[in-house]
Amino acid sequence: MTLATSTVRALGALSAGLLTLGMLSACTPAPEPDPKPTKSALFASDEEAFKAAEETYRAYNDAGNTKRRDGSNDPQDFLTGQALRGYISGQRALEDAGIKVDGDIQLTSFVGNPSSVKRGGEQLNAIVCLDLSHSTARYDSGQEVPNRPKMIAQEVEMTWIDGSYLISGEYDTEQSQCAG
Amino acid sequence: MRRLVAVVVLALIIVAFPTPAQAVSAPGCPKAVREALGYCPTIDKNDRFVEVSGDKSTSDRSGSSNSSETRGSNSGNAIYTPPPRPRTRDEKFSDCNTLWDLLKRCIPVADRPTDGPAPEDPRATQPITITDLASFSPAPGKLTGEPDNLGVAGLPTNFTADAAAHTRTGALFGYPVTARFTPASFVFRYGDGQTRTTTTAGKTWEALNLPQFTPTDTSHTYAERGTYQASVDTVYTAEIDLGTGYFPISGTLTIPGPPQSIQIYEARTALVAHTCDEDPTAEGCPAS
Repeated sequence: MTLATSTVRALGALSAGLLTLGMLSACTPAPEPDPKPTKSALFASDEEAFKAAEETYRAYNDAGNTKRRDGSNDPQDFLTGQALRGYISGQRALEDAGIKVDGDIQLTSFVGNPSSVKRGGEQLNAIVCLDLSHSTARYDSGQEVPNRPKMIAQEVEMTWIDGSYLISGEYDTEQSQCAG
Repeated sequence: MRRLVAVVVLALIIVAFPTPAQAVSAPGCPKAVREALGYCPTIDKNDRFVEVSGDKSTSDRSGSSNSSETRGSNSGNAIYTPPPRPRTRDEKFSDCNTLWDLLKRCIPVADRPTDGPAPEDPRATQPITITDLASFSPAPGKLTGEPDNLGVAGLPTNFTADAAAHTRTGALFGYPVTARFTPASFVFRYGDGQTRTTTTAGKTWEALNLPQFTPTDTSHTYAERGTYQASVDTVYTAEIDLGTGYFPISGTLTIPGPPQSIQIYEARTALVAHTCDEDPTAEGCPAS
């Protein structure tokens, strides 16, 4: 197809379009615009807020599992602030130490702290329990990371940003909060 | 320079007179690290574990020689993890070689004895995050459809966003701050349920030196005629200046743009034998 031909065709299409503009706008009632959903950042109850937060954390954990399996997901998408900086720093440190994790981590519980809920759910904290028993961590040499527990506990801080929760902080917490 | 001195003075004041809420600072603990090791060692400013070394040892182990415990097996390449030695106030300060770090995470208030009841929130001293900058209201990007917010069903409609890097001034924790917002990506919402994320704000056909109705990186082809409320979300990265130069803030801030009505028409072609002057009732002519 030559440039001249394509130009003629493009002009033809444009002419046809413009030709019908007046006719159609005169004869055809304009359809109603699609309604746009309105965002609601707050929740009717703490329970609803924790439920939404758990959903996000579960997706975050799943993203980590998927990333380890085939690299198709990025947990960073669920992080912001301190948690994002910690993730990046932690990944570099693990890489530097030659440590790699294989297998899936399972979220066994997500317990919200009702006293941590701020501004109707814009920020909240929870204790998560993660089951490591289906995963292994090894050094480059093949040696397994020793004394790795089967269950770990973490405190997470989650912040409502642009219509969804993001994990804004990940903190050490008492291991005893998770059984196993 | 005057600002620099002011910020240093502020930092020293905070160190000298910590509020009860700042008395304890819980350590961050990245999930990935906890999953790999089962615990959270200190990570130094070079992103290296301070307490863990393996066969590929790169860590700085100075100052940890008095006692150590074996976390690994007794094999020749056992993994040693010295117990974390409580770091002195001076050591904590030395970790931070910039004023920014000083403000963010090196206020060693935990070393000071506290009077009165324990604070409710142990993490009151938090670094500035991207969400803190939302109050600076970075500019929403305006979307424009081409040509003239009109389009033809079945043909590409080109879109551009007018968001650009800009600065905002405001205050954080009572201090004047300049924030610079730079568009990192754009989420074009075409109003028909379709979206496209790009790193470009898009260019007009003329700027791209392309004929009209040519597909572009930001164009969209509507299947049906109608009126669509399209918009663009601008995803900003941010840097802030406390008076000593810009420092990047992790994360992004997504600012939704206002809706723009896009009228999509239907184009039909018809084969006619005469001009409209010759046959005013022919298909597409005013009298038809």
